[in-house]
Formats: sequence, C-alpha cells, structure tokens
Amino acid sequence: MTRYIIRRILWFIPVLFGVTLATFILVRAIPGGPFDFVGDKSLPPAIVANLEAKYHTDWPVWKQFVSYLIGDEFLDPEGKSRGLIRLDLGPSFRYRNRTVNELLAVSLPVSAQLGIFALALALLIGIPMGIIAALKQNSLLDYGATFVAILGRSIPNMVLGPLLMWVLALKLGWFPVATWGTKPPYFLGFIPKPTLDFFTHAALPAITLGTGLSALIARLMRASLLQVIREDYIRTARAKGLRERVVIIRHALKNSLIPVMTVLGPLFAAILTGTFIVEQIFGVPGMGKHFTQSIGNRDYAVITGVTLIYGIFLVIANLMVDISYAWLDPRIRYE
Amino acid sequence: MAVAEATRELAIPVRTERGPLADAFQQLLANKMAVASGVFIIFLLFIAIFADNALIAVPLGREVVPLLAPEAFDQVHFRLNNAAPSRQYLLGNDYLGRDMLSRTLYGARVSLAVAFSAATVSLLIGLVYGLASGYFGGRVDDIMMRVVDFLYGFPILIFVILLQVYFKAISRRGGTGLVGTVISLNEAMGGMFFLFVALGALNWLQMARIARGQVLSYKEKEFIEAARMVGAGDMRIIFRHLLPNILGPCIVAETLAIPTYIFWEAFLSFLGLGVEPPTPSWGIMISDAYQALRSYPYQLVGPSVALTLTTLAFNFLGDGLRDAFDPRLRGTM
Repeated sequence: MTRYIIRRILWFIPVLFGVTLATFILVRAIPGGPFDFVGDKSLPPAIVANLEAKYHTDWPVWKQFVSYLIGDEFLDPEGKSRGLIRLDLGPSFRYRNRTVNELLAVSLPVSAQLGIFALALALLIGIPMGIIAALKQNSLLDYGATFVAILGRSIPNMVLGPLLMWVLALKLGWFPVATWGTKPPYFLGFIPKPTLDFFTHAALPAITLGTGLSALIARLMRASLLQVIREDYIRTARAKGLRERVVIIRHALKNSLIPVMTVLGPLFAAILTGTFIVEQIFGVPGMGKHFTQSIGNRDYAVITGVTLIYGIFLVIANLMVDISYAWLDPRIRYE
Repeated sequence: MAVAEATRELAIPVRTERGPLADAFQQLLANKMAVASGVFIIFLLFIAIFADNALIAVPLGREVVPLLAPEAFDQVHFRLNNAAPSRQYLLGNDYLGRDMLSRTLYGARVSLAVAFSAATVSLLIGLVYGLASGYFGGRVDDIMMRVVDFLYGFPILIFVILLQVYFKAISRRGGTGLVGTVISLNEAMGGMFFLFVALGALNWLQMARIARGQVLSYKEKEFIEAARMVGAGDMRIIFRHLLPNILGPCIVAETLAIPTYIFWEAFLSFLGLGVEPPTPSWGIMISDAYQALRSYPYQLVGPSVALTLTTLAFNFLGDGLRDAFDPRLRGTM
C-alpha cells in the first residue's frame, strides 16, 4: 500500500506538468492580451511594448514556459521570478508589484474556510438526519428526511443561493448581503478572528454549499446504519440486555460511520467545484472569484497559478478516493 | 410431457421468458417517481420543441411565431420593463419588458439541447475509447488507460470555462474557411454548439472507464469466443456482440450525468460564458434576476423553479434507471 501511494504521488508530477502546460498554452491562444486595456482606456503602443518586454509576453511561448518553470534569472538578466520548481508562481500581470503567491496567500484561505464551514455544516446536519431516518425506518420522519435529502441534492446552488439571500438577508435581515471581504474587517488570511461577525458573513455561502453535501451524507448514513443494525453483534448486544441507547451509540454508530468517513475524500473534490461556484454567486473573494476576474483581465500568471492549485487539490482528492475504496473493500488491492 | 403436467398439477407458476431489457423496463414502470419524472421530461421536451414553430417554419422559410409560449422570447415591451406579475404576464417581465413565462418555456430548449448533446458527445467518445481499450487489452489498454488517469487530474470545470472563453473570443474575432463555418453555425444555434463541444469533449473519462469495465466483463464470455470461432472479425465482434451488451449500463450512467450538464450550462450562462443573448437560458435569467434581487425578486421564480424541477426529474429518472438495470446498487448513492 505504501509503495502504491508513493507511486501515485510521483505520478502527480507529470499530471501537474500537463495541467500547467495546457493552461499556459490555452490562455495565450485566447485573442486579446493582458495589456490591451487599463480600465476602459487602451494603452499607447510604446507602453504596451515595454510591458510586454517586462513580462516576457513578447517571447515565443516555449521560452515563456521554460522561464515559468525554472525562473527567468537564467534567460533575463533583470529577471526576479524564481520559477515553478522553486514554488514561485511569478508576478501578476494585472496587479502590478504583486506576485501570484501573494494573491493566493490571501484568497486560498478564504476558499478553504468556505469549504471547511460547508463540510462541517454538512456533517452536523447530515449525520443526525441519517441516524434519525434509519432508526425510525419507514416512518413519516424517515420519508420526510429522504424527501429533504433528495430535494437538497437536486436544488442547484444557483437557485438556493439567491433564494437564501432574498429570504434571510433581504427580507429578514439576519445576515449581511454578500459583503465577505469587501469592507473592513475583511476576514481574509489564514485564521480570521472567529467573531460572530465573521460567521454571519460566511453563513449564507456555507449553507448554500453545505446543503447538497448534507443530503449526500444523510443518505449514506441512513443506508450504512440500516445495514449495521441487522448485524449479529448488534443482536448479541441486545441479547446481553444492554439498553437500546447504548446499543446504538456504542456498537452501531461507530461502525456505521466508516463509510461516511471514507466518502470525505470524494467529497473533497465536490467541495472544490462547489466553492468555485458559490464564490461567484456570493462574490466571496476566494480563488474562484480571482480566477474569473483574471480571465477578463487576461492575467495569464494568475489563471495558470489558480488552475495549478485546483489541479493539486484534485489529484490529492483522487488519491484519497482510491485509498478509501481500498480501505472500505478489502478485495481491492493495489500494488 | 410428464414434467409439464406435473408443473400444471403443482401449480408452479411458469415464468414467461423475458429478456433482461424487458425485465428492467418492468422494474422501471413499478417506480412511481421515476415514471412521473419521465412523463415530466417528455412534457418538457414537448415544450422545448414546440415553444414556437421554428422546427417547421425555418426549413420552409416562413415566419417563426410562438406556439406554446405566449410570446416570442425576444419580444420587447419597453413600457413594461420589470413589471410585476399580472394577468397577461403571469411571471412578470424582465428588465427589457420581455415576458418571463415565455422566456422560461423557451429556456427548456437550451437546457435540454445542451444536456442531451453533451451527453451524446460524451457517450460516443467514451464508448469508442473504452471499447477499444478493453477489447484490444495488453499494451494498448495500458497506454489508453494511462491517458485517462492523466486527464483525471485536470480540473474539468476550469478547462470548460477556459475553452468557452477561447471560443467566445474567437467568434467575436470571426474567421474564414472551416473556422468561419463553425462560428456561423454556432451563431445560428445561439451559442449552443460550442457548449456541446466544451462540455461533451471534456466529460468522457468516466464513460470510458465504465465502458472498458463492461467490455472486460464480457470479453471472456462464451458467446464472444463462439463468434470468434465462426470467423467474426474484431469490428464485427465489437459492434455486433459487445456493443449491444454494454450499451444499457453506459446509457444509465450517462443519464445520471445529465443533471450535471444542465447545471453546468446554467452556471456557464450565469457567468456570461454560455449561450449568446438574447437566447434565453435559465442561467442567464437567474443571473439577471439576481442582479435585481432587492427590487424585483419575482423575476427569480420562473427560471429557479424550472431549473430545480428539471434537475429533480432527471435525478429521479436516473436513480430509477439505475435500480432497474443494476439492482445490486439499489439504495446506495
């Protein structure tokens, strides 16, 4: 198993290289360049030429790519970028004087917080809902929970987001309207002060993202607990005269949580896509928001950097999926 | 003869022979939610096709007039911009005074067309790839599956977005020859053609894996060996013997993916990267309504309800199909 994991991690290198190369070429193939406009005005040709020389967009693409990978100090005497192999994603083409690393250090934590909140919410709602549905199987409660779960899976973020915003923020005024990071205190950075204010900003996006996930967890939890309850050792526990509550909490719950835990890996990939979408809807200043803004700006460096980060998360998520399958089903063996 | 009599006497019900397909169909019909969803989807298809008479009028060169929709999707009423729901316009009017109900009905056209086409593109590529990989096996299989593993590390949503940006910029610049033809085709389809390509061309990986797995499970069966014995060639075995057997599970898997396509189309349109205005898409309509949420919240109703119901119906139908075709998976995700 260890050898398998090591091999898979080595496999990350060519995949991420491919992701970077494909993005690098694709963004440069899109008509229009990063220096076409500043605001609404177009720049004089002389300035554009200078900027292109500074950011090397006048080089052939292969040379730009090499310099992106190993840094431009070797190719340009004035170069400062250290290259991807030394974990430098280069300077942003649009936010002058800022590097992509600096931009990501601000926006990545925001996306991560949104994802973690949504996941925590999904577990907090999904697990109890699944347990209740399983313990009261075929009751009205069970059908209700199943119905809510199917609805939760089917209602798109794009519908739920605006709906929640209208009801909870505009009508009832319980939450602020899409102001995460737009005015002080911004709540950016790795560990923002967990004040009540921060949670109110994060609540609507997190609920929007978490609803679909909680539906999935509830379904899984219900199916798993129903299976475990029918096992012999549960009958034995009951036969010993243990109280029902002890039987459920001590014996059944622990084992039925295993499939739920293993689905956390695959969920990770869903959360990635989810944060991207929810960030657009609520204007959350995370990586996804940065990505779409940079597309309009043709900020090649930011686009490539953000895609690479998503790629890294995705390959890790895929590996977690495969490992969790092996853990769940001993017949699957990797070598 | 004696056995038949004994059977009759013991009143053992003689099971009529039914194929696995008919069996699965019976199963599906017993699932009420799946049937209701299927009816709803057919109803939706009907609306999508007959929202106006374009299907007949365009080939005949006649004027296109609305049939099921009260008004054409681009009928502008400047006095009625952002008007609240009224008797004449049940869902109100948008910022150009266009009837929200008509646009919602027309929106089914984009949503279903993109979903079905993307599913077909993905099914075709995935099937061919998976069939080839699984059937030829050995080194070919190794290399082809390596390519799939490789592409699995690509964040698809990001690349769909980049491709759409690329296609949009190209069509704005225009082109000549083949590129020009494709661009004008895309324009004629309201921007849908590039969506088919971007969504379908990037979503076949899962399908290739499923098709390959199916081929592997059938490849060593006796009937394939028998076919080979009587001298059938590779192509004949693949298309006559393997394909009909693996098609069912592959179509079921693709049906399960349709809500994703519907959602991605809406999301891309929400970002302004989907179909071209004034073509109505639920995504664009939600995006417009969202901008005006504070003042005209009712504009959100039509497209939101339509998008949710459609996703719900496809989810129910997909679940039903999966249960019918593969009972072992019942109750799992």
